[in-house]
Amino acid sequence: MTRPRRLMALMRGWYVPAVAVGWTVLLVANLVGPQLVVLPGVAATSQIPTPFVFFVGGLIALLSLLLATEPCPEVFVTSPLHSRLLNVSRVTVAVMLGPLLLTSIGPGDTAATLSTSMAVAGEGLLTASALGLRLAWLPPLLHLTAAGSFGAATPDTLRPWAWLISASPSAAALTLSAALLAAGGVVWFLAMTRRPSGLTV
Amino acid sequence: MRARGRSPLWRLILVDATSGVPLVAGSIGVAAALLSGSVITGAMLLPGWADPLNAVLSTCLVLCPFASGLAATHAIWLRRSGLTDLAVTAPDGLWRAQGVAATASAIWALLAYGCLTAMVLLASNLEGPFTPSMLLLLAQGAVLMMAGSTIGTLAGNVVPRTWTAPLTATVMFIVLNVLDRTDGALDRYSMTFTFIFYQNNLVPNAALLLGAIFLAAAAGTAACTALRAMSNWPRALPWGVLAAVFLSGGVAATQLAPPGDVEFRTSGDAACAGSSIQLCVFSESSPQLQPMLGALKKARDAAQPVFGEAPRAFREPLVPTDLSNPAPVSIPPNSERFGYLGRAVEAMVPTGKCSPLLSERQDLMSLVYERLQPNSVDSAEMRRVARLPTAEQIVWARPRLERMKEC
Repeated sequence: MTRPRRLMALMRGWYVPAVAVGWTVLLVANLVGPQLVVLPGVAATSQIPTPFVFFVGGLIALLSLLLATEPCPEVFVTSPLHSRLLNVSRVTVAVMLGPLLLTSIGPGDTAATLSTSMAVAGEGLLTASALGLRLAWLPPLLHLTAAGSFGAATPDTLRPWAWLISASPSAAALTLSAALLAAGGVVWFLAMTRRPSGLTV
Repeated sequence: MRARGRSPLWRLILVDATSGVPLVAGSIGVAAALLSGSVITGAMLLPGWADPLNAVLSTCLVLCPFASGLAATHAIWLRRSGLTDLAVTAPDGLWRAQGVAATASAIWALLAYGCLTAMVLLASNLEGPFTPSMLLLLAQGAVLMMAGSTIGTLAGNVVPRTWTAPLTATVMFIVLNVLDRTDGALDRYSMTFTFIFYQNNLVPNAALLLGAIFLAAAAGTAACTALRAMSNWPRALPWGVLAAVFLSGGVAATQLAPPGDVEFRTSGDAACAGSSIQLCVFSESSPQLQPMLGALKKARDAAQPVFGEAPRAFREPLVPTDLSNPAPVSIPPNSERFGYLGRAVEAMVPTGKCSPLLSERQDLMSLVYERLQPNSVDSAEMRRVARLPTAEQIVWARPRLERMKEC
């Protein structure tokens, strides 16, 4: 395949338009939303997790996980290496590109959103490798909502396990999120060849 | 011989709950509940039953969306695998099949909630106050979990797509958070009460909590109505009536409930100490009696020269006592080691009927605090006043004290 055609392959699939629509909705909601609705103040956790980082980062990651279902996960058992590579790279690109694009056009901190989306997607891919894609959203969403609700020990300090919602992530937090994504990608890449059981799809 | 050759419903529910999505996703939920239960220690919670139970109810902010997501995934799975279509061929098949699915999901949700409750109660100090109304906190969580499961089942049935489940969970999370955190019109309709810490003198507002339980039940039964209507709408009417009853009961109870999320406790034993300064607290607060008394003495020594007079008798609000005209002082929880002085200073400035946020009151408190611990308040003006000679401080304080008496 020539290079442009490879690039085209990245963008082909049922869920690519869905992801694009999702990004647009998130972008518009963040540009227009604050003028229309006043978000309730998060008194207990003040400015540590901002709603933007929390929702946009998390939702970008969940949208990206949709891309891992394409074209049809059973195919990867017999398909050549490059289609598995394509699957993993589509997810990774979406996870990284979403925050970069959205924060460059709209409001929000790129690093923080990236940290959230990478961690959520990484956990999602790791779960998908063990339990299948349909349950992949469960543990990361549980982690994300728990962090958003109880992740702050005091108004100024985030508990270590809630690193993924930090409004200004440290280098360690970013590295951890990136490592989770990398681990998730590798494990998912290897898991795709396994025979799909009833739950692994 | 069984009458209709059908295996008992409970066996179907058991099989459903111990296989497939409910088993896998449910065990993730229980594991998460056990994990969060294991990090909660007694020191984080106030003594008594209300604070631990409220802490568990607060985790429903996370567990209830999880329950609805689990139920939605399960319903989607059944629909997309064609099992629901098979069930539709039997009379009332869809309703029964979805009822079994919803129950199987709810069992896991309740199991996660139950595990967390047990662990938190085991870790906390239950010697403290207990009233039956505190059990309503427990009931509210259970109703929320069941309602979440039913709503999830409905969502999964209406839109059986992969993304429905996480979306349902996210929407539930947002709704519960908005209800929990907003002030204004929605304030009374909170399903959870994250920002309440049940000190010894507080008990839940039973009517408000009952209203919340009814409203959560109304949401659950409304979802049941819609599910029932999908297979046989005339039979959905009783469910609809039930939902309407819950809704009106919930709105009525919420509107008629006394103001405030909590009520003050009116019964209990008092523990008193002190001679020149006297303090009475609820017997459950007796470990805090001596440190509070020390703080009150310090604060009084700082306030008295400026205010001219300062109270000598104090009590935790509503403690039954025979002290004459005691000033109210709130007792910080055991874990809050630095809270005593701030609360002692607060007790020195008379509130009368004024708002506690009145600026004169805040200024007077800052002055006492600054006199106690120089350079501790933010306001430069108050630091300046605290450095003036005592006579000038008296002159500065007098109009403000007069203003406090006017409310």
